[in-house]
Amino acid sequence: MKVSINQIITEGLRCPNSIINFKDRDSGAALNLLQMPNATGKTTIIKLLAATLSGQIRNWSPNKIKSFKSRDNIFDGEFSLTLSIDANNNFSEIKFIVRFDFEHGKVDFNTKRSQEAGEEHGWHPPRELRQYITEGCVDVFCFRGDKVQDLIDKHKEDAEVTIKAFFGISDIDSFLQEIKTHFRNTVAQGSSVNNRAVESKKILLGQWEERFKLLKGKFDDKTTEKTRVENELKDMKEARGGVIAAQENGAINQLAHSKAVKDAEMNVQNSSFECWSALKDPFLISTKLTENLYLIRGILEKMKLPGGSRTFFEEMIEKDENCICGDELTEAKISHIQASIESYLGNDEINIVNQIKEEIKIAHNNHNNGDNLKSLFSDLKKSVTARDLARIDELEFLQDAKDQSGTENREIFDNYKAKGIEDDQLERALKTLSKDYKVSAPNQSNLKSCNSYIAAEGMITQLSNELGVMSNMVHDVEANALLNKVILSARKNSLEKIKDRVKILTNEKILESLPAGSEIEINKFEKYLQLGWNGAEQEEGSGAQNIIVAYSFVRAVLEEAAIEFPLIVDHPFTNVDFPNRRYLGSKLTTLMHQFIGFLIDTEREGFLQGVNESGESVRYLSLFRIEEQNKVFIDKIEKLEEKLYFKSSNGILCYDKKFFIENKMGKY
Amino acid sequence: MHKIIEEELEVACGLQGLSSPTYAAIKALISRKLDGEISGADLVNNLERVYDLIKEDMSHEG
Repeated sequence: MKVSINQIITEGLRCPNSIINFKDRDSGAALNLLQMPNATGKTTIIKLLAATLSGQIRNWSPNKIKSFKSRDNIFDGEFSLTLSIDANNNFSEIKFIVRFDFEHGKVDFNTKRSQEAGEEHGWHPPRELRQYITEGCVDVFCFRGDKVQDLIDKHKEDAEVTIKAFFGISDIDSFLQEIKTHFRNTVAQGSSVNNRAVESKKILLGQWEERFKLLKGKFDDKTTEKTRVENELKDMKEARGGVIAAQENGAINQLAHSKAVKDAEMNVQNSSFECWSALKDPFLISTKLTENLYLIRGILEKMKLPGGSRTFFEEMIEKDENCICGDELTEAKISHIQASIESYLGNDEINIVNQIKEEIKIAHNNHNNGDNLKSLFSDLKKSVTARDLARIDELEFLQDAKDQSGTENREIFDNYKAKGIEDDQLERALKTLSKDYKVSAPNQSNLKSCNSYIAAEGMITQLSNELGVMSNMVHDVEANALLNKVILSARKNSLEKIKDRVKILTNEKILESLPAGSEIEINKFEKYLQLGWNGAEQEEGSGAQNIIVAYSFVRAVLEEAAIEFPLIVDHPFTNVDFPNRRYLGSKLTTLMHQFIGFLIDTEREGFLQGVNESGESVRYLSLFRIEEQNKVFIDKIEKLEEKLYFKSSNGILCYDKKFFIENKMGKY
Repeated sequence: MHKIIEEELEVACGLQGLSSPTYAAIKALISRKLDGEISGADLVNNLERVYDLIKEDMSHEG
């Protein structure tokens, strides 16, 4: 199935009123580039597009809805999105229409599946599309440029979350939750036994359910808050970076400090990993352990075990006619041998004994009385000191940069620092709220001591099972446990297999897209994409390599799911240098059947040359408000043929390539 | 439902000694859930049917 975006209509929203028509490869241009001056509503359009496609806009809070209101004093707005769907050459079109009531903070969602059917109230995508346009899935192909980093960041889980969303693993997780809830209700209501123990168990179960709801609610709220704070932190980091870059050698020094800290942190991580690995060696527990084992080995040697004798005699009595002494093997002799050989070792046993002796010898020879461990700990200590120094250097650099900046910019530094503290606090709170542990027996009636929703949920499951057994529902308890076991096992194994397939597919696509000789691939697919080459790990690639990895990953996910979506990217080429932007420009048209890039002015250089060199047809779009600061654009537009632009009451959308190339739209 | 999930579900059911009809019922239920086609009373009824099938399989196993 192939899905393309045909048209977006906006009216009365935080972006100019407009009708934007996009193309795809079949209609003449796989690449759609949209430029808009800052603060014109790029992010607004992307947010509306994603939330309309997934239907999530229906769940927005009144305040969030009101925040999308136009600057003009209008209380109604509309956003519509038209998709074309090609299902095995069966073409159809679907339109989602969202009408805003800003006065009451409400939206009215309608779907138009065909001209004849007209508008129907609600979100009604085709059944076969539904699974792929959940919030999590839309996030895969509709993303901000900085998501590229999130896929390869070892502290993040975006890559695995993508797989879970796209292949229904997240839905299986929520299904498992529903099964749990259903079972709890069945047990609580279905008990036919009435005695004091059952009643008190039911009361305790009810209390734990309340505790769970409270903690889960807190966790969800904090998660939402964390996302908001993380986004604010990113914006603040960008703003702080801008202030530093304006100072002499600011950008270079900032990059050097940030790299030094990152490298030092990596060294600490590697050193601690080595220490942990060494600590796993049981011979390090005591030097006596190795010595004593070596003594046992010596005893085994001295015993001169009759290795393989049993196998020899077994074969002889089975195959030979005569004994080794030359006499005939009579029945009596065979019986005697059979009765005696049990005390000898066979080949299998002797192999095991020899293996043990060999292992003891190796362990003894390699044993260095902990010297190696001492040296590893000394390295770890050094790397921790180096990391702390790098952090101090960076802090001093940032303090200098702050002192050198103007009064109003100093606030940016302070705000970033305060936001960072807020982010850390939220991180800690989330960890506590989602700690995975079993509530100890003495604490089972002390509900307030439990601050983790996962532990509380574990208690609910445990109490439900106990209640089931007490209520003569043993078979229901067992059936429920079996159903959970089967689904959990299928979930775990399929997640790993799908990740493995996506890794292989992504690497194939990386190979197709990067210049020959580029040494980068996905080494491992943990919760994030671990980059590297030939087994050697690498924290990240160059800006361009990271982008190719991310786009290849999205393509691989879509291919494995047998579906094609447009790739919609805000700031597609941030952090990419000039030559690589040019390379990406020349490659981009071949990657997807439809690419919609929301470009900023600083990304144009190099990229547009590359696009031009590709010789592919491109849809160039420039959108801006009709206002004084855009007068220079408005004057030029009015000299163009009317068919090249669309003019609304407050904005202009221009489709002219020449206009796009000649006019940069960035900060005012 | 992705074919890998289907395959793994079949393997897991087989390992736990569940019969083909039970596997088919679980698969259909998950599939309808993934397509957003089942909820409320319909989901409860289907789940009860799956529990009954599992209990039947368990009783055959002795």
